[in-house]
Amino acid sequence: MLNRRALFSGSVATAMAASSLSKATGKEVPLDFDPRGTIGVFERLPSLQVESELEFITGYRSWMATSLYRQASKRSLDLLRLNGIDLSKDGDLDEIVGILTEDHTISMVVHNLERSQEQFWKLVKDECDRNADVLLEEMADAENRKPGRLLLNKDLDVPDYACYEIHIQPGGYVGDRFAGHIYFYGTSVVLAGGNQQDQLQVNWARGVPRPADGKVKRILDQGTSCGQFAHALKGRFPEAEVWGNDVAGPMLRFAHMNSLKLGKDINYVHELSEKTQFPDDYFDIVTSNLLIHEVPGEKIKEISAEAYRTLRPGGVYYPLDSYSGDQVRGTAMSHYNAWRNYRWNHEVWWMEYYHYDLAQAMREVGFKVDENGPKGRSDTTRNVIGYKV
Amino acid sequence: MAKSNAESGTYTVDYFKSDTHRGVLLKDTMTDNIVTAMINMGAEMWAYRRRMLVMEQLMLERGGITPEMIEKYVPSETLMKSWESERDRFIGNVYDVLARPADIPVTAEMNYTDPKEKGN
Repeated sequence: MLNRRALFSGSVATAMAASSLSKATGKEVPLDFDPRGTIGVFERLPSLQVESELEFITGYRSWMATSLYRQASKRSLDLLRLNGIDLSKDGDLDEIVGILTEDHTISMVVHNLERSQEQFWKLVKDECDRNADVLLEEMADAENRKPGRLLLNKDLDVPDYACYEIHIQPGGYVGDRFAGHIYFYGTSVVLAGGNQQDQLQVNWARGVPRPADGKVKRILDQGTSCGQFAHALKGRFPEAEVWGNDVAGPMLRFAHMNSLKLGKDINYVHELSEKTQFPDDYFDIVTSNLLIHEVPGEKIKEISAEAYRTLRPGGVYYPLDSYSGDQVRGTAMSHYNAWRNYRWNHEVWWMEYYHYDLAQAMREVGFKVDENGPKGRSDTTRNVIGYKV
Repeated sequence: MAKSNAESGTYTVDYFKSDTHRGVLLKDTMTDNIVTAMINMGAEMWAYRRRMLVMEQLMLERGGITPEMIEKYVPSETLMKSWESERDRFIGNVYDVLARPADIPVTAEMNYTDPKEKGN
């Protein structure tokens, strides 16, 4: 086990290791609240109880993926064939859903995904609420500390499209004071516990191409949420000034605090990715990591246009996400899975994204587009990349 | 468009509450809830098994406590009260879901509770 304070610069370490009086309770609280220490860059949850419960759900969902889900997939294909559905096409969604929801094994998959997800969100949220005094104090204390800056905007108008409980996360990205904590620990379950050292983001960042002239002075990560991809970008391009923006204040407060603890010099700004504070031609690289599918189609285009505006000529746009539009293998099963994700994972904009032609939208705002860019996520073999020429 | 709740320092805003918790995803509401309780029970059981594994390992490495001492241990009244409270939390965590009301069929259109109507 590694105490992350050892990673800090001396001044930050000294400051963070100190205590202060809680505004809420008047009690002494540590400014770096990690009662159970850290494992690498991963700060353990305050209790073994909740950590173990999450560990169980992680294991249960892995079992589902290899056992229950495999059986359900086989049954799905059999049932669709039996009902005369052409498996090679998207088909009529209502008809496909009607057929598959009648089956107990398939229903069990939908149920288990949904209910286990509700439970791990609840466990993390409850743990945060139980430790609210110190966690809030810790975030408040981190707000004005460096390295990195946190620019919050109390007057930001948060658009309705961002105010849903995406992934059935309680309060979504914007509605809970611990949204960053909840997302950070919850997604470690979704990713089967295989991302506690941000391994996925580090791998994804390796796929980000440099501009042709090789110069990378500034990077923006759009919709950075709790900052894991921004961390990976800083690791890949240590010489660059890295910014992360997001519409969700609670996410950014967690992101900045976490960067501070890790000694990562990253700046965070509370703003809309479609309307940023940055001047024209400012960045060498603009990225996003799983942002695009969380917004409506017209916003995808606006976000792409803003990336184009803020990139300098020769700059690279790397919107990392799942396949959409013509990239999707348009089969009956992919259509059903998209619906299940939309309806019961509460991915509010997923069906729009499923049909959305991201590459075309990027072309329309000015990018030269490569649809066969370096591999991004594990469920893709290539990624759409935009070049500002 | 919602303004950030900056006054409290949390920068949260109102949100649309999802209806997924009301879904009837299995044959009926009670079947749905019982299977959920089984998953929750598994998590609780594993948490205790996990703690036990840590204890057994520490006993092996450091000595001082034996399995027999654990078997014969008599808790004080105060401790017993505290354990009862923990037991009740366990029961709530596993079985509260049995009382979850649900009325939306799995094929229902997506719906939300507007924060302007209900408040979140």
